[in-house]
Amino acid sequence: MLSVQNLTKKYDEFHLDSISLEIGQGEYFVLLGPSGAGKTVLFETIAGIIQPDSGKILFEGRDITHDPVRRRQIGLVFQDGAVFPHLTAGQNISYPLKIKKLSVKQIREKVFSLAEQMGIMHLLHRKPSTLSGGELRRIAIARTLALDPKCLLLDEPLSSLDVQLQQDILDLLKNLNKSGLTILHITHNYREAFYLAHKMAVIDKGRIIQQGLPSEIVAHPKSKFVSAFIGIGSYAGFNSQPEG
Amino acid sequence: MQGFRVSIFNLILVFLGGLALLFIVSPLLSMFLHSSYAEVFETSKDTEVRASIVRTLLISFSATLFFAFLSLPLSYILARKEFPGKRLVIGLIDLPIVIPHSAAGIAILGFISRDSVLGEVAGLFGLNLVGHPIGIALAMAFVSIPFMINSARDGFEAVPVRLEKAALTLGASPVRVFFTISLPLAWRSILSGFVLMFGRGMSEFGAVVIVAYHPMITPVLIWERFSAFGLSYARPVSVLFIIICLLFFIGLRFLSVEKKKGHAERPKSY
Repeated sequence: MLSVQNLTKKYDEFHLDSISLEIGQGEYFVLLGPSGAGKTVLFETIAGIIQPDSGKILFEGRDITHDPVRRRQIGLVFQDGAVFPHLTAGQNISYPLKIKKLSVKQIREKVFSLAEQMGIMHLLHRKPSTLSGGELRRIAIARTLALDPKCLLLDEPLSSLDVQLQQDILDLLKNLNKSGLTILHITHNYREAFYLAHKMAVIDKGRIIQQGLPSEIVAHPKSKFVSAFIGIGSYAGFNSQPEG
Repeated sequence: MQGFRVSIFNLILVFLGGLALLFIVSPLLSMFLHSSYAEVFETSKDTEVRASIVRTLLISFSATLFFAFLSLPLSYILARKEFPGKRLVIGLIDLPIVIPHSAAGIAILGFISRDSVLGEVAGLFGLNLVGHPIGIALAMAFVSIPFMINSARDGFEAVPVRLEKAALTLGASPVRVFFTISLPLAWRSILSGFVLMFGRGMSEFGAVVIVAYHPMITPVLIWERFSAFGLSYARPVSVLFIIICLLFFIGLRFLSVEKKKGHAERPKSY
């Protein structure tokens, strides 16, 4: 469904180095890597905010590398949600719907339906400054889903949330994926990755170190970095399993 | 709020801070104390004074409104884009603040006189910008526009880039992102810059007096009364003008506070 081919982007002190990923229809793909590994830059490049220096992005077989952001049918949820602080939760969710020029009735129905799905009906009138981190993530996800994206990119959706809220959001994401939505999720937390991923990739310093099924990566980590990062502590000849 | 513990350092801070505050308040207070209510009341009935105050406020407000419109795109570019020579452009914007305002007046005079391009274009419409309210507006705007540009730039810089990126991923065009995200979130800084530019423009004397002695704006009228009749004639006009300026600024500031309160109210939809 989504194919990233030899994507390269150079900055002064950092670069994405020939990144290639294959994400199938309905898959939950987790990109695991430490801070500064290039996860967010890669996401913003796939979403179309950043233009790559070279490489291709194919979506459902179509080359979207140079398509404008708004024509990609890929939704991106930013790390902290990036909920617009001057709009209420309801106005945030209706933001993409107004751009689509839907009727007031259609917008209302869609907002209520998404709010119900996300369990935020009671928050629609509230301003972001009065909401908790978990509530803001739900609003951000609902707002992105309002676009009816075929693929959802989630940038560290659980960061800075307490354990209970993390579990709520994890369940929500699993359910969204079960309903058929393709999800590409970045995190630095291996527990989160193993809980959610059908397939995963480990990224460091702008390079994909290893990708495949979680069980394969656990069984055969390609490097010390991978084994350390996925929480199994040793490299080559180990049999221990990751926690969580 | 953090308490203010009594210590020698804090006492020195309070003493020096008090001196600075006294330096600002004393001349103004002295002027008010030396003007009787009757004098100020009589001055307020003087048609020349009234006309000059209305003229000053109108010209300054119009100049601020027009140049605020021109300033916003530049402020946004400076806040969001990197380009060669950006620091030079930022330096140029601050130039009107650091040059003597009489010199600024000379520069504006050369810019609008009949033999300049702008003067010739205005001449085609039968206008002579020298001694004209438009000339005054240009002089006011020249010395005050840095306040607008810098304040709006600060406002745009304070808008998190990720919010603009989020709007883009939600299908908004860059124009829509500007009008629905950047502008509403930078609004208070823009209004603050507007108030500063308006205030600085209406109080301008040096540049305006070179471009247009007549029609007379209030700072020029105060100078004229002082040079022709002395301090006691200039003082009530000054007091009256300061009172009116203060009323305007308090009103505009109040408007920005009301705007903030309005955000917290329950909206009609959702």
